[in-house]
Amino acid sequence: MSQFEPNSEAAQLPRNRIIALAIAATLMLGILIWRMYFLQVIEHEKHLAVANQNRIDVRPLKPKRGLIFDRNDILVADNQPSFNLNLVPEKVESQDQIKTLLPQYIKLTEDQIKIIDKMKSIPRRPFEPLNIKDRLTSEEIASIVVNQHKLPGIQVEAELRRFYPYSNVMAHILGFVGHLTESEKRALSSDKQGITHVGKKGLELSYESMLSGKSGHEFIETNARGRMIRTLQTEHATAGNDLKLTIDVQLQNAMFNILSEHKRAAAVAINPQNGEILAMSSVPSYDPNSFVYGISQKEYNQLLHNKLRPLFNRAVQGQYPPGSTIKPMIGLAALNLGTTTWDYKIWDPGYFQIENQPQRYRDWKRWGHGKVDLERAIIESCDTYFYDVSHKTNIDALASQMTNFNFGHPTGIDLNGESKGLFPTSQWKKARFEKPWYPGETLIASIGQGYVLATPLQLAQATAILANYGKSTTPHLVSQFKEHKEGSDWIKIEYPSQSLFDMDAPGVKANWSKMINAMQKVVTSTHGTAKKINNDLNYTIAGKTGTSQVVAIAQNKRYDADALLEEHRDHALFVGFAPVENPTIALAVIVENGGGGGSVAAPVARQIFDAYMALSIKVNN
Amino acid sequence: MPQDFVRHRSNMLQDGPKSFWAKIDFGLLIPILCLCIYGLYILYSASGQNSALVIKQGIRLALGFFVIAVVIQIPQSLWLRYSFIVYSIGLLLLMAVLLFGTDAKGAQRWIVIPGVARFQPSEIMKLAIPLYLAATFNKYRLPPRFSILFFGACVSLIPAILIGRQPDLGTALLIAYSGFVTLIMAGLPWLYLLSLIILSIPSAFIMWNYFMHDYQKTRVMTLLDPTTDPLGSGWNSIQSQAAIGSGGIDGKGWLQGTQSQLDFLPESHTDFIIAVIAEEQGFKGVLLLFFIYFIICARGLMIAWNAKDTFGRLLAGTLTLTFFIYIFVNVGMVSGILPVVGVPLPLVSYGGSSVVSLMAAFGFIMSIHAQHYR
Repeated sequence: MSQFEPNSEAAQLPRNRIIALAIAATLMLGILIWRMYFLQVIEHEKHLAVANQNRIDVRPLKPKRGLIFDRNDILVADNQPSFNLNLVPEKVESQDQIKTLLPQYIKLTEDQIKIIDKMKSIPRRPFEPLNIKDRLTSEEIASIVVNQHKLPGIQVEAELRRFYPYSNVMAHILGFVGHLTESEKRALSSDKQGITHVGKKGLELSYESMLSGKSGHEFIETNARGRMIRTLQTEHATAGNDLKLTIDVQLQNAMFNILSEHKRAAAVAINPQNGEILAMSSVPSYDPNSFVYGISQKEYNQLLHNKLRPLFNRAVQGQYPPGSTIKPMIGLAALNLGTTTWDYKIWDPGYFQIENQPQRYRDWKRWGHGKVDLERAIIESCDTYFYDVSHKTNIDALASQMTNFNFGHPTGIDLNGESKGLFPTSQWKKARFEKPWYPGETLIASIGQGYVLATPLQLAQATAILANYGKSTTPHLVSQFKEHKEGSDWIKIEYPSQSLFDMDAPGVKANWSKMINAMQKVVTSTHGTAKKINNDLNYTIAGKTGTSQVVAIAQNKRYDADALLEEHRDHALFVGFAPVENPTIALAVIVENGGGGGSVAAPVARQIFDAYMALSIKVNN
Repeated sequence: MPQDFVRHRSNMLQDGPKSFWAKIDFGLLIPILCLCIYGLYILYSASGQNSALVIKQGIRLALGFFVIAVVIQIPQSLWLRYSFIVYSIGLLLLMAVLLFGTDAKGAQRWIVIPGVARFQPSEIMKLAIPLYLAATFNKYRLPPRFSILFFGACVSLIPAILIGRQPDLGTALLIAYSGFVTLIMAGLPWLYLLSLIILSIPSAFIMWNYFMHDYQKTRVMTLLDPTTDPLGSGWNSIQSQAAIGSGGIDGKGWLQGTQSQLDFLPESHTDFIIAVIAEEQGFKGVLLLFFIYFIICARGLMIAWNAKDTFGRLLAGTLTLTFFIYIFVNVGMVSGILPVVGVPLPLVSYGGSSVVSLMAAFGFIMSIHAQHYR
């Protein structure tokens, strides 16, 4: 029982309120009735005209995708007309008829026939055509047109499709566009309606919003069967922006051909002065054009499960132990931290031992280099010297120096999916393995092994920073864009450069000059690990070789390439820049499981440098 | 009155629970049944004659009637006692949905219990707020003190803010609305209500600038002029008004609506189903639908009026008026006088999540009715 009786005063208040709210609700119901009456009776004729006789339809006008040019205005991503087979489900009279007749006139894959089956359940706008097949041949077009009357709903339309003239050479940079998936289609904003392809990979993906433009629309009058009577009003689409790359497609082509002599390899060339990527290749590659026209599941699976991983962009996604290529940076870091000097010398018996520990940290040269200073340690790539120096250096201080060379964090290149590499710290190890840092691990890290990982792009960037005396610019592939209109100008995208090193501190600049000098001797000295590429060199190269181990070799064993599985053999690496006096190209090369850096990677780099020099002489003339 | 007294006595003498059928209010049940049948009939046409979908919805509605049957079995004293717990569970689930909810079209609304069910905690709140508020006010003499009114406002606003963050602005406003209906019935002074309305103008301004998502703003803008975004949200408005208007007085006939059948009308079997009724059944069909809704609401308010205690009055009144506001918002948005928010037409739109909470609400109203005659 409630404490108040039903007819008491307390009951009266809510009852009054119920009356008031009931009146309000009745009024609101009145509004609804009036609104429906207004639409259905007063404005009936107007709406009937819209709905029944002259149905007004809004159709999206899709924008032209922006073009992409290389640095010398050579077109590398084009739009080309393609005759496509489309299906408009609203106009189809018999789904079965089309399903049986169409394959008689034109060759269709199973996936394409499935589109006819699913035509009613694919989300789309009314009267929006479904694409069945692209790039019809003239015979195919003829046989469709002749039998058009038997195939209501089927139409052949000329549309623009993306075309990549440089195919696999530019694949890892440009990526590709592909058909929208159903979920992508649902997520399209209203100014992108009607778009059938979007960037799926590479620059096509990362610059999607710039390239895709803005849809227009037209109001058209249609009859009850959806046939267009006339256009009432048109708002034109705005084409996407054109992009200009930093890539020189001729150098890119040369680099790709040079790398293609190896099974799996990657290289990145950066202009150290402004961060422009001149060429970037990853081998093997793939034909991006096949994705534009809808790659079949079988072909896609072949690419996806290929052991050589052609879809993988090794240059920005591949993470490798950089090996000795990081020794110049480690050397500068140690000089900055005061753990070595140019005069400091060690005796190298072919190994290094931490006091009271049995393990021998071996040099690549079994019998040792003898008396070694920093310059010789760079020229001959002496591991023992770096073991000795790094043993006196704190790993975290070393890591913070290496961070300035862009190790362990993404470079910020304008591509999606960049790997960030790794330069370990004691904190990182604690978080990752819940174990303290062991002194021996610093030794291994100092020769670019162990936990240390870097992408070819990071190595090229580190080399560029070194060549440019500590100044760094975010590496990038797109330098300019412009509206796709007659007479519009290219607009430069600004990439500011910054210096993370204190170059004004006493001796720092001299240290860098000496280091660059030592790197030049890697090529010119008779003991240099890259002396092989010094023949007939009419310009100057400073560089460093690297041979990085993929698997650990036991204490009492020796490395024997022939005895190892191919994927366990050493990676061959080379970093370098040219000309030494005024560097305009910094290069990193890796040949996966290719063997020695000096014997395999350095000659590859020399060929790329030669191609670059030949091209720049041509440009200057 | 002596007659009342006699009936009261005789019920006391029965000394046991009333029979199941005596608890059911046929004045409410029959119009609900009519509504469901009318809804399924329309759904068959709106879904493009998809009988599997109609059967699925039929099963959901049947399940809904089972929910009514379950709810009326539970003694009212139990609801009074445990309303706070129901409310707290609802609140916790709302917080959980913000933390672990599944994404659907950019908004987190669902909680998924793997293999068992997925549901929207906001549906629980639709019942829990009126229940808890009615139970709270039941303890005080009406009109309550300011502090209790303030407490009541908080009880309805906190879940509304949580739902607004999902983000689901439409449901958030409706939840807040249901709380305020309870407050009004409990005796919120009209002066407060007036100042609330005046205050809502600057707060709407703040909402617009700081809290509303772009897609919500576009919806409001397209209400003012649907042609500004003809490919996006304006499309729905243009097409649904053409569908409604072209139906005329008599309609084009069942399965004959060109707008609905040729797929010009978006979401024709869910939120926009009233446009299919209007196009195919005409103004007459719309009036029939409104008549059924009117009977249901009138009966609900009658039960509220006759309820024997504050709890019953407030709960039955709030649930009925909440039901009504869903109709108003849905028809208003489809006919172009309110912005498009995702609110289904109660018991007619295709979809399962609201059926359970709506039917449970009717269960409560019936059980209040049964109390009156006990």
